[in-house]
Amino acid sequence: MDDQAILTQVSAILREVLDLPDLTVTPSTTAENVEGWDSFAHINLVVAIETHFGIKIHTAEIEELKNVGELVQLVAEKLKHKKG
Amino acid sequence: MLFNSTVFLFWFLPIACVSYYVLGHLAGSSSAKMLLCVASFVFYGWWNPWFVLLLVGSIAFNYTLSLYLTGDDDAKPVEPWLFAAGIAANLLLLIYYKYLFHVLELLHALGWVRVDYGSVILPIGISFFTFTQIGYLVDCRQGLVRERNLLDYVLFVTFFPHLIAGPILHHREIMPQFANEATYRFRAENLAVGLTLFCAGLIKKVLLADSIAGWAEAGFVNPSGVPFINAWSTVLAYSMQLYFDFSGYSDMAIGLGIMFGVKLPLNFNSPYKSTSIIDFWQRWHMTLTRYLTLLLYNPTALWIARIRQARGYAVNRQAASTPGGFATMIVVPTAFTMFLAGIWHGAGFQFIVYGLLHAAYLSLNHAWRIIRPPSPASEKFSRATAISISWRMLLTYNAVLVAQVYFRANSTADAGSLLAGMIGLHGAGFPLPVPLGTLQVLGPVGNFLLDSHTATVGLRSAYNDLTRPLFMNSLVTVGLGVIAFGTPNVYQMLNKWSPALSKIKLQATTRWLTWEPSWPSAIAVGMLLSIATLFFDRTGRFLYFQF
Repeated sequence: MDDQAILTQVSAILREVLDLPDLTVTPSTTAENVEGWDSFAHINLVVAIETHFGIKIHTAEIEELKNVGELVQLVAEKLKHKKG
Repeated sequence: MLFNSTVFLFWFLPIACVSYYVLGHLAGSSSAKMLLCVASFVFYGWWNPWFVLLLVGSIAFNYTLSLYLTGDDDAKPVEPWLFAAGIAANLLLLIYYKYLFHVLELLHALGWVRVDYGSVILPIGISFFTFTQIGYLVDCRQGLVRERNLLDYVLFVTFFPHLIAGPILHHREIMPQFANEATYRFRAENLAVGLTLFCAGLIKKVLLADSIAGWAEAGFVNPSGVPFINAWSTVLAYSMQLYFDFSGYSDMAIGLGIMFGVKLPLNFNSPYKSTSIIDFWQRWHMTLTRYLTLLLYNPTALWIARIRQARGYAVNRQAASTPGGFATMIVVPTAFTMFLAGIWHGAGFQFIVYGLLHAAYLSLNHAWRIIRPPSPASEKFSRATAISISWRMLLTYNAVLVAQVYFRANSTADAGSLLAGMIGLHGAGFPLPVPLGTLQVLGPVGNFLLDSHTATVGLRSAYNDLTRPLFMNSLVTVGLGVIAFGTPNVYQMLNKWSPALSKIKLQATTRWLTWEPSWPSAIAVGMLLSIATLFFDRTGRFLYFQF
């Protein structure tokens, strides 16, 4: 799966978790500039992503992410490890 | 050593700063690091040299353990018990110094324990350096530690600006800065910005917080039967004192960091301007919030969410709107986190109440968000939005204030008494500005005023010597309130120089409040520093030293 495909899927998950159907997501989107993306939504997002992609994300890894782009990178990396 | 002392500002800081850059230039960064470590131990030992041993022991223990946890070869799996034992050892140290003797004293008072074990001196800053290192161990365990240099680690823990009362650092934001050669190169800009920020914090502490300290204490020392006006004035004064004291300390710490070329994380962002409790915790003691979110809230919430997911329950906003979903996904992790946050501040039921009150506030705030999701903030200014914002600020501040009563009171009973006073159960307590006889003209209304006055006169005798300063102190409190609620903070003024690490984007201020390295600002900072030195060595401590 390439980064663009992951981004599309992550965006869809994000829209559903936040309950914002019209939200436009780019790699530079951050939690700070999306209304309602708080600590609670963040946890839901992580669990939804874990289930969707069948991966496991460490608590500490979540905090390292600066924006959606880095989240996509992390997912891509985990998927690679999963296959390999 | 205190930041607001002659020995610190006129001896320690200049000597440390000059030798740091001279050594860094002549002998390289390792020597500068060594010097900074030694200086930090001197800074710590100034207060009680024996506790330096404790600090050294704690660092040696945690660093050794971290080496085991980050073993180079992937083949050797880390024993989970080793990690657990390490965390337990850190917590036991904290329990011994912070809680054990308090609890024994309580049991002794209740007659459950015969022997009076006395008390133990709290090693200053112990919660802060223990927390910092627990965070490091957790990251070692999760395989996120890349920098393992001993000197960088010692410096990360002991660097004197943050050692005693934070900001609570994360190794990922600090150790790379110590590893970077550019940190040790002198830049005039760092000195100017750092000194300005230090000066702002110093003024907050010695001129603003300390000016109201005595008044803030009065009602808490003798809280029984405090009448309405005195209860409010003491609680409001304390609220202002706490903010200016602790945020002043943080400003000084961040400013000092910059003087040594190191950027520390933002700790306060005008918290009293918050429009919700969630907002408040993103602006008040921000590094503690971050720490608690990372180590307590996230793991608990994730654990619960994964269990729900595994059992086939949904984990989104809709699921949280059912009673069961709300209780498990929001209330449980929040209450758990805030309960421990309360206890962290001290052994005493009042701190538990403080934590649980905030847990209740936060849960309510989340419930409200579920019922009425926040609409995107509109850029346009209108009267309706202004009223709505003021109302939300007022509500948030009052909720914070009630919790602060528990935070400061010596017991839950004392806090209850003050809160009773605040809702008027102990009479009005107004110092009547008119001769009593004139009230009779007002008939029943006058009689009511007279009654509530005479009812509190007896109680007020304790406050009689404070009645005259009531007006002056109220005026000072209001003045501090205007600053806390109505003015941009110093990080907004220094925004262009980004003096602190922060994820959030600060709002820029008007041009004339924006700091520039110019003659007028140099003169202003110089003058403020001179004024502040007049108030040096008068008060012993910062409020947060007891944690």
